[in-house]
Amino acid sequence: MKKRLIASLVVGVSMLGMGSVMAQEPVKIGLVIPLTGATAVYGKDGKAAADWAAREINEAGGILGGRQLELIYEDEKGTPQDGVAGVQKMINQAHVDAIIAGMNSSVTLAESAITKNKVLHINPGAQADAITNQGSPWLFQINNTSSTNANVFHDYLIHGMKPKTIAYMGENTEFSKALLENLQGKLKDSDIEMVEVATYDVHTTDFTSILSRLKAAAPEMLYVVDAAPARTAQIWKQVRQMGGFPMEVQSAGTVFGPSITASEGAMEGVISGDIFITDGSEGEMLDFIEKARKETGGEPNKVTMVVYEAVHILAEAMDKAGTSTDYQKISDTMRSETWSTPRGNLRFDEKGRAIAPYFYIQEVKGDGVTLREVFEVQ
Amino acid sequence: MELLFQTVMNGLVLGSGYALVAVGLTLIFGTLHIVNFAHGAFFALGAYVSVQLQSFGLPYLVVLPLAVVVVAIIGVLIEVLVVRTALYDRPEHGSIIVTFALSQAVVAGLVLLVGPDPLPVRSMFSQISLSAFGLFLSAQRLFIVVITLLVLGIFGWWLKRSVRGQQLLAVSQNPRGAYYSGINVPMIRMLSFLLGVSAAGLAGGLLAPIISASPTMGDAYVIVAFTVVILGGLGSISGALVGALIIGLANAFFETYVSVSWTPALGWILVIFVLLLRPEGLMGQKDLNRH
Repeated sequence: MKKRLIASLVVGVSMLGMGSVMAQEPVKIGLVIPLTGATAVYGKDGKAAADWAAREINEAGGILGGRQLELIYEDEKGTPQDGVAGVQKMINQAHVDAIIAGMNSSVTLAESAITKNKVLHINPGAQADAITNQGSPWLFQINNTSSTNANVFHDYLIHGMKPKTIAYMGENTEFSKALLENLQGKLKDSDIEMVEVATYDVHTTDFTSILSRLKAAAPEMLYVVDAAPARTAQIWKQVRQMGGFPMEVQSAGTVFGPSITASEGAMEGVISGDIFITDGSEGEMLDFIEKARKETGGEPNKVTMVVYEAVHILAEAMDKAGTSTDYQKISDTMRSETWSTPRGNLRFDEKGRAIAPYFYIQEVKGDGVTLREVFEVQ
Repeated sequence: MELLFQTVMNGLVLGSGYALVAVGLTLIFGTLHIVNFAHGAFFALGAYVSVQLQSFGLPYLVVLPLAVVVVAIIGVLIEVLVVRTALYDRPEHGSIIVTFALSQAVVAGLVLLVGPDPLPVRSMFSQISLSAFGLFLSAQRLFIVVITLLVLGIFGWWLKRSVRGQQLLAVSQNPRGAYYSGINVPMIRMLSFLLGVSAAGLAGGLLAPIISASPTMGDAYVIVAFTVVILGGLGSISGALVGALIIGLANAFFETYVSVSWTPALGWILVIFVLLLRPEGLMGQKDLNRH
């Protein structure tokens, strides 16, 4: 009897010891982002934001009883095949507790087919509705969907800017197709005519022929849909060289500092929209922007914000759920709670989509954008 | 009618940009029998060196020739350290692997050193747009056409009229025979590689004010350059120019009147069509016994 008691005590103390060892194991989060390739600027800003968020959480004591966050990076290079390879590595080799991946819709669609029912996946930036329409129970999206942004932005183009004719040019991707469909649907109930539609391969660098064709149609508005900063700068430079258009618009959520700088003034006056803007910000958003400048060493943008939010919301959800590996429990927690972020309170719907409370219409001025109008998103 | 003339002009201008990238590629293949997949990397290097030189306050017209010199120096180093050891007198598939690896290393190096953000190259021509009879042409593109014709003209004259040019042709036709005739084959090979990559660097410096410098900027151009070179005939300088103009015009017309999305396939379709009728390319010569 005495021997049994001693044995039980030894086992019990060992298990306590094991518990404390387990509490020290880091929570591994895999980030599959474009560190090279045409969208590498998103990866650079995303990494800076993720490192900052993890640092904040770890300095505050970590999660789940003191466990630190460990971020592991893989380069998706802006291509679906490398994105797939990246998430596979995270799941099979790095054995991460969760994945944050998604800057480009085509890449994220491919990645989410791999992560479905295998691992918790947070998509910070990719917008295509098709990503969350898959119904993956453990997939969440921080950025607005294309349709949410498009509904507000296209309403503004049609009822706010009121062009008589529109010419559309966009990259041949899921993102662009979704926006084109949304716009064509809304134009049916208006007097505005879409006079030209031109889609191009993502490897295109010379847009002169396309722009010549669009100019020949004499539209009042040129609407450019492109998510790659380098290509965006090229397009607008070439638009300027062709003499420009009376109204010039770029797809919501795709105008960034690097493309404005590289365009050397060619984007001046271009209208766009986003869920993030520095001009006119106040309160928590202003605090976030000032802190981000110090912590990331650069000018914050939407990528900074959505990746920062992704890391924080994921960590808080794991902490509230009391687990880093019971994905159903974490997902239920994410859907049932309200999350405090720099842009206000966020909630996730049944498809795992967060809806930003505000949408900002912006105009390119100098090296940045200025606020033109604010819409509250329903 | 205006659109037709604009399309013809766009095609010729587009083609001249392709020609400058392609002529370097065809020279390297014609003389060295190396399929240079790193050609796009030298194109990007030309653009990035231009960015760096401009940051010292140098004007564009000074930056451009200096960028070519710097790319040439880098080319010489790579020729001595990599190409000479790994690629000469070896099977051509080896050059595909080595030059592809080189291109990936250069791109990764650019991202590491300079970052992934697109960077502008300022030219006094890029903000000027010329317009007449309803047609538009940017001054930078006109500058590219002028420089391309000048460079190709001088190069063609040099190949035909100078001793070194003749030696280069001799080495491209029969390196062993050239060696036995007393030609310094290693030096000629280095010269060919240097000229080839310098042309790519010049093209990068000329096009950067239009497309901005980015690490992967050479990828699309090197693919088109390959279609141009195969179409015009591997190793043929005049073929590179003719092929470039054909591809430029075809792309411009297809994009304007048919579909933009199918344009990447168009060049390859033209290549297959021409090779079926004339396997050596439009202006290439049938393969001679090089031993």
